[in-house]
Amino acid sequence: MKLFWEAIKGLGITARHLIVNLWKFSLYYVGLSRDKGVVTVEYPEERRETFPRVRLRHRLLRREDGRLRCVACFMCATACPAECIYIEAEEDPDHPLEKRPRQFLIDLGKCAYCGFCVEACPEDAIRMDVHIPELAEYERDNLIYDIEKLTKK
Amino acid sequence: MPGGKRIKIIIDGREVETEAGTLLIKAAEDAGIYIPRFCYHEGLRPDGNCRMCLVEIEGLRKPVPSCMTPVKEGMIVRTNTPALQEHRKKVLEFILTSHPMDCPICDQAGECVLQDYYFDYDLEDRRYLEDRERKPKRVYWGKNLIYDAERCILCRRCVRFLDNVTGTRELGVFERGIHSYIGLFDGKKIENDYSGNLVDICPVGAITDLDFRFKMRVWFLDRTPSICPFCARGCNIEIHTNTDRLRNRFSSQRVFRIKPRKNQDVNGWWICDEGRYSYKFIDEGRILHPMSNGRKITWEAAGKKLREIIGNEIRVYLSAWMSNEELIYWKRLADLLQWKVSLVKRPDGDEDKLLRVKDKNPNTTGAKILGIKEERGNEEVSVVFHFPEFAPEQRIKIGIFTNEFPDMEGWELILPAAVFAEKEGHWTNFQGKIQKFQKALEPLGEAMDEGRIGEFFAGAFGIELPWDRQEMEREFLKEYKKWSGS
Repeated sequence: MKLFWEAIKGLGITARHLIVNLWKFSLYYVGLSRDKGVVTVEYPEERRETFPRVRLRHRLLRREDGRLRCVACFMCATACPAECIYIEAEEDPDHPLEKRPRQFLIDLGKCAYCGFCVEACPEDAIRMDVHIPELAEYERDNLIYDIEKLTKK
Repeated sequence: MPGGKRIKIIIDGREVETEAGTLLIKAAEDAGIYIPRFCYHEGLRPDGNCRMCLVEIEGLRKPVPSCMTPVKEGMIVRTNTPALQEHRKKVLEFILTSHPMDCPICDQAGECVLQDYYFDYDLEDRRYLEDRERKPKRVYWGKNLIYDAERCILCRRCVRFLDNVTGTRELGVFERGIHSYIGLFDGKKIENDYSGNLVDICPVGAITDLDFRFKMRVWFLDRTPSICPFCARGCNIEIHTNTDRLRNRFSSQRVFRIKPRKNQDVNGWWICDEGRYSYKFIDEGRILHPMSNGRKITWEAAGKKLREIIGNEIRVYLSAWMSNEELIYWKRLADLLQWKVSLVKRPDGDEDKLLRVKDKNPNTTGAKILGIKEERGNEEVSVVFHFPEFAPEQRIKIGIFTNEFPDMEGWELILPAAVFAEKEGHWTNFQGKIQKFQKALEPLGEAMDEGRIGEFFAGAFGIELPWDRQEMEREFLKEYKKWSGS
């Protein structure tokens, strides 16, 4: 019997929130109040704003001639506290910059988004993107980004 | 140095006792005072061209190069006065006017003395506004060497190495002044057996190794002291490994390079190219599981197979690649079970006057001390270590191998053994020196070191003989004393 009353009490709280917020939002909607009340963001049609200083997924940049800016110096991999960057370097036979990455992997599952790799880069080859928070994947291995994924527009 | 007379000098206010005729830079280094240098190398004749090692000697008006000055009784030397620091700064600034500063893509970065000295003495911005001198880059010098003239600081260590040590004289300095570079004499290529040492002695990244080029940055490498197994000299080496990071998910390479370690009684400062570049077998083509007639089996099944052969006559072919401890353990095991013992080893190869000796096995002397002889037998079962090609044509062949080989189907049982970099032990070199090699890596797959495999054999044959490396080491030392005493 006591349980029944507790359930009624809980539903009462829910109903109160609904009614109060409905009232607040109606006033806001007709322009009588600036308080919007608690309203669910209707993702994906509607998004919350990200803060301007947030830096998310990584990008590898290219030079004017289309070559990757990266010279595979491993500075980002050295600076990375999460040890999530894997680089395999190779000889670039035609270019005066002798070194280029054959493989450049970032495991975003391990990444702490600290931005040290961007700080460490001597060639301004790696940067972090803003306003793209959708990084979820169904498999952990899909979170390992390779050059193709990292340079995609 | 001749004479051997002990004299006393004072370096930086400390009294240092040294031998008459020693070079000042060496006397200071032995006393723990490091004088910066580019061109001086202990193993080469001094040249005195870099001017980095200048010191002040009381009574002389100008600083003198310590690498060209023999010590004299009662010398008072100062190595680190403000004037000398200012001088070193100038030397570095002069070198850096034409240095490309491409440290991010230079393999030497991290172990480059120019980098180190810059942080120790200079730390100034560049004042030279002209364009850098353009010189040849990526010059292939033959074998595994690649030369970058822009990075070169013209210390001439490489030129002197090929003159003083190998005597092959392929390199010289060409052109004058700022245009000078190191080059090959007409029609020559560096193809001697010690070319890899040029990479080690180059103080900057002018000479780099094609084998190591761009594979790994040096600060990611773990260094383990070890002994080179490729000939009976037993050169002291360092194994540089990396097993960290995301790497082991994507690449199976664990050993990246072999570097020499100084030991004046054995190899000096150098190692030969065979020892330097033959490390690939540690990671490639390894046997990872026990095998029976070419099929993978478990260790339990392998034990069962071993029990099947109890009662047959057995001969064990121990190898000259096993450590002292393993040899004595296996000999003891064989005595207990009344097996016969003999030795297999790699056939003799080239030798030269510098380091390489004819015997291409690290521990032939150790086997000799224990009285294990190279002989063949006709027993029904043969247990062969490391060298499948030595297996006699018996009914049952049991092998303990590290690397895969063509006809593995013909073997009743193959057990995976650890290579030298994956275990700890001692080898006795051809001079009779016992040298320790240390464990740099964990054994690959299900491989075990030969001592553990011996324990596994003992268990299968129903006897108690625990593998205790330290105890076996003491036992071997007893045998060694008997051998060297007689």
